Amino acid sequence: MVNDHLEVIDSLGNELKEGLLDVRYLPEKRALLVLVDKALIFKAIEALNKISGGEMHLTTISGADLGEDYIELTYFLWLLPQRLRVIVKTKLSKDDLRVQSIVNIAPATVLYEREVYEMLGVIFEGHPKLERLFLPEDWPQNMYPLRRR
Amino acid sequence: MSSIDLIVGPIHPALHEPERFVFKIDGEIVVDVEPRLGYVHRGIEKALSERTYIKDIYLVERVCGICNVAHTLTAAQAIEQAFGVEVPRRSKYLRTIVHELNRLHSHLLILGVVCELIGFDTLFMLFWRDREVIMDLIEMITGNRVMSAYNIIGGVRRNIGDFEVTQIKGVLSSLAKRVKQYKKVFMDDPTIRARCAGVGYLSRAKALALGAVGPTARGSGLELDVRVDEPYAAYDEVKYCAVIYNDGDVWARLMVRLDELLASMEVINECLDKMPSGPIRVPVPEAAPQSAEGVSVIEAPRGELIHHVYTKRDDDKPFRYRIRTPTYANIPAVCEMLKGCYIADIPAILASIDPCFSCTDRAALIDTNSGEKRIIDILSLARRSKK
Amino acid sequence: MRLPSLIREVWANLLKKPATVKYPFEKLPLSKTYRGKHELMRDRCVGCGLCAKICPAFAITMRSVYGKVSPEVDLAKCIFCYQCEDVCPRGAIKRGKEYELASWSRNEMIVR
Ligand code: SF4
Ligand code: SF4
Repeated sequence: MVNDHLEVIDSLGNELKEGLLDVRYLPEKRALLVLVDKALIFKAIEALNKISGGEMHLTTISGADLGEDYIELTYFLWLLPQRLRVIVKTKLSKDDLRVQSIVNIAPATVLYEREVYEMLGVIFEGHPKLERLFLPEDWPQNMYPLRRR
Repeated sequence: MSSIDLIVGPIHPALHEPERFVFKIDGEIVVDVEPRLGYVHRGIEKALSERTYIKDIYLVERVCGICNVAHTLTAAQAIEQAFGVEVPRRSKYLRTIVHELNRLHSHLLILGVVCELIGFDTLFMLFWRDREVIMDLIEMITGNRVMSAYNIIGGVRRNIGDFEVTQIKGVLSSLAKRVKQYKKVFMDDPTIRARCAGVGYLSRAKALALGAVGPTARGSGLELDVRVDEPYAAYDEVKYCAVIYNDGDVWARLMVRLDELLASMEVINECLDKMPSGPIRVPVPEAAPQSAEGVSVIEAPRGELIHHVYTKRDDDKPFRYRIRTPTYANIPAVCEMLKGCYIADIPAILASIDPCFSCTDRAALIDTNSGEKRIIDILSLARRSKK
Repeated sequence: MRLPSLIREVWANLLKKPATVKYPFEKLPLSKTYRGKHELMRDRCVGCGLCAKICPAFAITMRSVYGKVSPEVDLAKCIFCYQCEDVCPRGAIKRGKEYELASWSRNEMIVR
């Protein structure tokens, strides 16, 4: 129980090798923070799914434009057998806002990815239906309400 | 094969997300569901990052009126985490008590609504009468029946004394007896069994994959309860066991709520007994002392609620604020439940995930063959389903 | 035949008073902490403007009347959170008990 996060860190390291930019346990958030390269986001989630034996609950994806030249995506996961909160973060440069969709591993993301797409303009490749979710149909193209300029 | 589109919505059941559901129906059976969200997208996330932290607490309270305590609690916890503030222990207990009272009234509300939708109006009246005593307790503690304005960054705003403690205990002990009686009714009343058992089935695997939360997940046997998994406020010091039912149908989801009523009352009583004395609030700086990130996950009445906030040093406004409400997470799951059900069961299934029924609901029936269009509201759909 | 499980409830309710009250004639008691219409004590106010600055609903404007600046609360905007009461250094804003606030004109909604 207590040291479960160490095992998760080990197995993640084996799976992702140098694509794993940072991994550490945050005691104040009681969560494992995993920082990965954007090309490996699919692999990271897949690896976590494997570690939990398919018992992974995806809480949400949250995207943030922090006024820099990148957009930060945060995946909140809960691993049931390990009873561990995992926060996977990745950074997308604003010139190339493409990332692989994880719908195949966690169908729960279907709405969250659409929301991040419409609010921040991140394109999730492989998403079955990447359309507007909340915004009206006549909202102008290429206007993303939560982007900072 | 000609299938018919049955459009339920747009001003439909959910929290801050009334939805429109387009049902493809074949005869009386739903074959496919397509939700369309966003009819009252109010841009709260953007507005939050343009107001100061103190104002934000009152704005998140208005994300959802029913579980307002859950929202203020999450926001306060997320911001406190980013600020690096530790709140006094007594305020944690007070937060837990009000949060559980909020859950009691929310669960009684939805149980009543489901009873009305399945045509059991007597039970609806009884549930709502009992809900009223909880509302009075909330008014006594916080100063308002619904909008409690109780949690604040750094603690809570009002204290309770001996008088309130005896009042709460008295009300809860009589309510517990009544809830046990209702549970018996739910267990063996033939009307309820006929309308709820086996309806809207969601398997455990589907619930997990589709990210169901709260009573929807626990009714399918998924052990997800933030109060147990990641105890916040005073939950690490009180005994609490997640309520799990394995049936996965509407009945199981209602039973989870009924059992949670009893569990919540025990939590409140335990908190009242154990509550330490001391301050209820600590002063908090107006501007963020550091650039940081706060994440807070709690178990709102409808399920897991998450607030994610980015603060910026010396700025009194959050940089980015993200809220994920429980009904939003339950939408893919409810779409799955609705596939293969009868039209008459749609209201009961939708209500069983507990979306907010505060809006007047409207549905349009479009017959694709004749092009005829009729607009009805969901209550008359429910009324038709009772015939 | 088995008796319906709610039959006891029916008997109990026949003998009880109704759960509702006839509202305009009869009113429910308010709790001590109830947050109703504001009571402004102009003689206490020093016109610091803190309440106007903190109000989450932007309901307070500072007006100067005969050279004295004091707050005006627009009840049409107010959300009755009483953050203004919390922040006032002089205790010039008090929670009132009045809750029937409907009115025909916007002017009557302003507490001066
Ligand atoms: S009660 Fe709240 S909304 Fe109303 S005037 Fe005071 S601070 Fe503003
Ligand atoms: S905070 Fe109090 S003293 Fe200051 S202006 Fe408002 S009412 Fe007057």
